[in-house]
Amino acid sequence: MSGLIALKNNFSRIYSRNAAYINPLLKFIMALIMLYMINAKMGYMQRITSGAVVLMAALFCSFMPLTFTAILAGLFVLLHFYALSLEVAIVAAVLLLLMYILYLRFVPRESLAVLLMPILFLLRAQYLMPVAMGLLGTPFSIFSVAFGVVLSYLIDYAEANKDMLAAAASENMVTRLREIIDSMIGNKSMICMIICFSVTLVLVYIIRRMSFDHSWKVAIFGGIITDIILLTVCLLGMRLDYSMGGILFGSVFAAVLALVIEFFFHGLDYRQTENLQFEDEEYYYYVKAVPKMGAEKRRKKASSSSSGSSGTSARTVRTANGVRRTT
Amino acid sequence: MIDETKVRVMTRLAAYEEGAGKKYLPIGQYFRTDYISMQLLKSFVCGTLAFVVVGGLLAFCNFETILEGIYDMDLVGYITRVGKIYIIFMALYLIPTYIWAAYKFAKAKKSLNSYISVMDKLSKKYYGEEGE
Repeated sequence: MSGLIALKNNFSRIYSRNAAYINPLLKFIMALIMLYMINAKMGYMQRITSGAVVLMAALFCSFMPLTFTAILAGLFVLLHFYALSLEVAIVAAVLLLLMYILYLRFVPRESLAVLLMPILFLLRAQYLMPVAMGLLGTPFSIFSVAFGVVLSYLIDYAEANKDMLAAAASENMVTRLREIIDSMIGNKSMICMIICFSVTLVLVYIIRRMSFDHSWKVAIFGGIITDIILLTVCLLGMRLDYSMGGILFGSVFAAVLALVIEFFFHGLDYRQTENLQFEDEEYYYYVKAVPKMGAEKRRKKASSSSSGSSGTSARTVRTANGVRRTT
Repeated sequence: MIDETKVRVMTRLAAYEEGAGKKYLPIGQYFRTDYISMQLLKSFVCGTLAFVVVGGLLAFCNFETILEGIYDMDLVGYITRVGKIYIIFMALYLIPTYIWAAYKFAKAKKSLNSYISVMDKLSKKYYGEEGE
């Protein structure tokens, strides 16, 4: 464990020193993977599947804000749909427009989560998203997860019916549009998945906000187990087209990835927990202070390096309840 | 001569302006009611647009049915029903918008208060020098 903490500290040290170069590089890699996956999954428009186009687009993304990557990925999805069928493109455009004007304009950073969802579906790790958003987001993130699921199912629908959709206009546009909308609205698997993911996300959020030890880990495993149970109930009760093996393996994979997220974004050392109690004129304070992993080592290092100096240094600590104390 | 304290304070201010300040400083230019009203107005436009887009798509899909029954349908009743759905939809959209805008404004104000106090410190330092 100490090796991992040292690795994490090294990462954060390298990152803080070279953030100006690492940020564009990370954005570039993320855009490259995202656009490559979209092309691999859809690939209906040959012109934008070439390596040069993807590379140029990813390079462009590296110098733009992260939301631009999401917009570009959305544009790629729309262009592929347009190449396959105008009707699917219209439905996808309406979906993306609704997503943006109703929800994502409030939380633009979650637009990336929506577009990562189809990629996680492709990797069979879609079970990660409700857990990750429960850990890092708010209960309102159920909207971005739900939109992501709908987009993923629309992509799946287009893939499954590409011959029918690409065929010459045997039916008129209205009939096709109605078929697409009806198949999306009547898709029980999609609706069940949205409900299961929403319950999981809210549960993970509630548990991780609690103040007991290892609440993030409990939230991850509680969320994954709840998700498995809910999806299994849906699978057996409503005879949906989920695969039991897929749910189990995908959930285990998601749990591992969620633990990685927990390590990098939370990582507390519960052995050093301090329970403090003090008062002022108006309140009694019951404070639980949990140091971050490696904080003890950093403190020792800092105190040994400053032991030679005669001056004393003040340190302000903000507790989980927002209380500040100076030591 | 370079005043180290001043440089330190100005660096902190610049770091805030480049980081969290980018998000909160524009909000700080508004009064609470103005900011919330502006967000509600934006949401009203966006919500209406979303309603029109979805309504338009559904109407387009059911175009033939609508045309066939247009002479027999109770047009006033139909419009009233659509109006009711619109009002419920907008209420469901505008109430969370109000809560979100109020929360965001309070968060921005809290963040800006510490920025303003550092700014005050800096201006006192300048005025102090002028006084001397």
